[in-house]
Amino acid sequence: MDGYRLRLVPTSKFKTAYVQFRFSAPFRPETLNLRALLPYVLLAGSAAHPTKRRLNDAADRLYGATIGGGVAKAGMMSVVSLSLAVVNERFLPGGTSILGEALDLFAEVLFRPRFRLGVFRKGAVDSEIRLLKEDIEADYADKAEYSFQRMAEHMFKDELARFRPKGDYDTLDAVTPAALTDSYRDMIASDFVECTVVGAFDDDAIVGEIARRFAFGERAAAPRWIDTEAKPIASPETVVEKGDVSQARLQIGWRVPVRSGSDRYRAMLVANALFGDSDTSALFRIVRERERLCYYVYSVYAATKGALFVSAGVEPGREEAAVRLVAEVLAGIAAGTFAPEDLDLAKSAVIKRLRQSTDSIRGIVTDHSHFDRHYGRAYDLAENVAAIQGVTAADVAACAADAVLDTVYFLTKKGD
Amino acid sequence: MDNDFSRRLNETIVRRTLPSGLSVTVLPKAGFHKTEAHLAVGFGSIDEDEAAVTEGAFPPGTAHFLEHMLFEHAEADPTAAFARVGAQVNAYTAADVTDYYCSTTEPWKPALDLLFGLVLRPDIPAAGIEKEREIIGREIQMYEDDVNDLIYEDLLNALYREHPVRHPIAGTVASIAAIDRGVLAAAHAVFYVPANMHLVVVGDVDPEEIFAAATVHPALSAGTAKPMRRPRPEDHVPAKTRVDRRKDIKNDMLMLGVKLDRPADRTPFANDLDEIAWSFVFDQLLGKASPSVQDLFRRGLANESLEASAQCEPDYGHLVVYTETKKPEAAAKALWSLFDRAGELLDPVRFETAKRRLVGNYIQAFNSISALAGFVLDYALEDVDVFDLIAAIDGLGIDDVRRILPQLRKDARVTVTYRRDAAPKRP
Repeated sequence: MDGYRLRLVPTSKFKTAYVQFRFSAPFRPETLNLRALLPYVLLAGSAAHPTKRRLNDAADRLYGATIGGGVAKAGMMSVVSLSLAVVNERFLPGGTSILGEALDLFAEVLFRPRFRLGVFRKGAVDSEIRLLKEDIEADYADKAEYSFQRMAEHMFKDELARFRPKGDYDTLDAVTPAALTDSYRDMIASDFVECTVVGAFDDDAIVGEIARRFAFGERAAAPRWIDTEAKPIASPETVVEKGDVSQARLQIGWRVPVRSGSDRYRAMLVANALFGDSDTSALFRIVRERERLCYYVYSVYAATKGALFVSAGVEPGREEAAVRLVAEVLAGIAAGTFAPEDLDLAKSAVIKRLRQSTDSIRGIVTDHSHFDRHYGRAYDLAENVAAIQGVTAADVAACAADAVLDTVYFLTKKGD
Repeated sequence: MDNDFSRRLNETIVRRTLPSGLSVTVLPKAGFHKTEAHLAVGFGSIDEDEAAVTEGAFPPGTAHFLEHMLFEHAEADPTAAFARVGAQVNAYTAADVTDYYCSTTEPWKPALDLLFGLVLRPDIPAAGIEKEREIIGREIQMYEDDVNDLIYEDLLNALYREHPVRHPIAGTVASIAAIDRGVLAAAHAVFYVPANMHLVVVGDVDPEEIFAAATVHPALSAGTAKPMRRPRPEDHVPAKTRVDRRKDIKNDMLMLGVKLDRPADRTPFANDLDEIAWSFVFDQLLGKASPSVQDLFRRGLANESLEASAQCEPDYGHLVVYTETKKPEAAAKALWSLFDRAGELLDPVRFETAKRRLVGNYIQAFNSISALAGFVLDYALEDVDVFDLIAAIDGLGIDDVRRILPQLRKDARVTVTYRRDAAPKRP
């Protein structure tokens, strides 16, 4: 396809036709706020539907079509996404046809923004800045999210991963309509573009419908989907902060050498499930159920960054004991002291997740783009499942042994 | 249970009540990997009493405590047993139901057997009660850090004077202290009977095989009759009209509530249609395509957190509007004034658009196994046919919406405000 990578996923499982465009450019602090705002300003009105209200009304008339947008960081890239979800017209009464109109509306949002004197309207930009700032403020009320952010700011202080792709609160007010408009034009002209289409359709027909409305010039983009930034770690850092919490929040971060696309990626997925990312994980069984140190405790593997995190809610005063026990559990896995059945259960949890991922549009889009980006080929569930089944106890232990503790963070009760 | 809508969608819902009294609803989804099963018991926080001194009354938190206890086994860990057959199990307690559910991408039969065994176990162990009390205490503590939970709890507490929906589902540290093995065993004996339970299965399954499996399961013998839920209606006057608190937050939070009339003769179907009628009122007053919201945003009174919902149950009902705001006084004033002018703000053209959107949403609800299972369960609990309900939306007119507006009366309103407690810090 002209200027972009098109992935078609034909399936009759869903009642929805789904089209997503992703625009990727190198992640840079200078463009962070611009790209955070862009999707929202585009969704605030187009030339033909000049206000958010009019745009929403037009989409609602198409049986509740939704056009959504957002921004994320993937590897070293900033990824702006815009998507259309519209009910498949074959399920509408009396042969009503809406796909063409819905694609027109989507193309209108993407290519014909509402400008005044050649730039986005100041009123719309300021309004979206206010909304985004208030959205970031709301994250503060979520203690788990807030404490994770604080940990990431410490752990990644000289790396791009310290930034929230969502936007930098302190500098958002400095965004001008002119800068935002330049950023929009750059995105359309030079970003790496991926389009994923999911739904029940005739391949040739849908390709024609998309090609007719969405064309981008040729571009030479070489996206870097892996974040390779790292730092030497002499000894782990511990950070303690106080807040208005009745339960202490604990966040622990490790560096791991295994990233998406690596030969050991599948082993790392299984290691993470065994450690803290499943119902039968070691953290859940030992730290929560046996020792009752935490109400919740789980691990997350950040595959494009090469990091492993543990989040937990701990009774104030027992934080140190919880950290010690979490570290012991990981050391136990590294020493290979887990039972063969635990390994089987961890694999089964990962496989269940892979299979049920194909039951949702969002899962399908994620899996297909992940495979395409990191392996350069079409997604194959059976191959993926077989690879998980082939992971050995030694592979898993090696993944755990390679994790290097970086940062321990507590948010705990005031006055302790 | 098929009609034009289901035929056009090529979907079917098969429902049967088994000899044991268990109601079973199956929605087959060919081609999907995941099968999800819910075994829901008609026991929730509205079946409890704050002053639980009378015979047969249960203290707040009993339903939730019982849910925790069913996962408590001295020898066999249920979570691991499900995991061994490739399934995940979980549960939650709500106002009117305790729902145990599992999902798997392996053959469903072993997981379903385990689910029956989990919920219909014959005894409540004495061991483990103190351990669970401690765990629930920590869970309650965690909710205390969640302002979004707290503000809704405050609203319910202000709206209702007596109705048990006013107390937190998990109870309080004080109320769970009164729960012992006797209380739990009594609750299990009364509520955990097939006639008071619903099984919902969604996935690539044959409904007849599900019915057969549920019919022969030994734990499912016909027994005690379904316990009657005692209606406890109260009038529209709230317990309190204002609640104001200080919190460690960055932006003020505002929640408005309106207590609704619940005439005793409304059927569950009529209550569901009322909820839908209110969703049309909210679409016009507070929806993303309404001129009034454009104005609220322009004046900086509300943001994307703005949401509104209606709940119409047999013996209680209320509306809730929520937004975060920098100007809570002005925002409350503007929102209440929208309610006062609701009649004149209704637009017949937009009403037809909102109906289309709702139909589109109902069609797309059939995309997800888990969302469908929850959705089918909600209606199965009320014995309402989903496809009949969707067909009835088509027949709704703007006059049906006007009919409910008088309930937006001033003496049924509650305003809850959470204000940030210090000079704004950097988030």
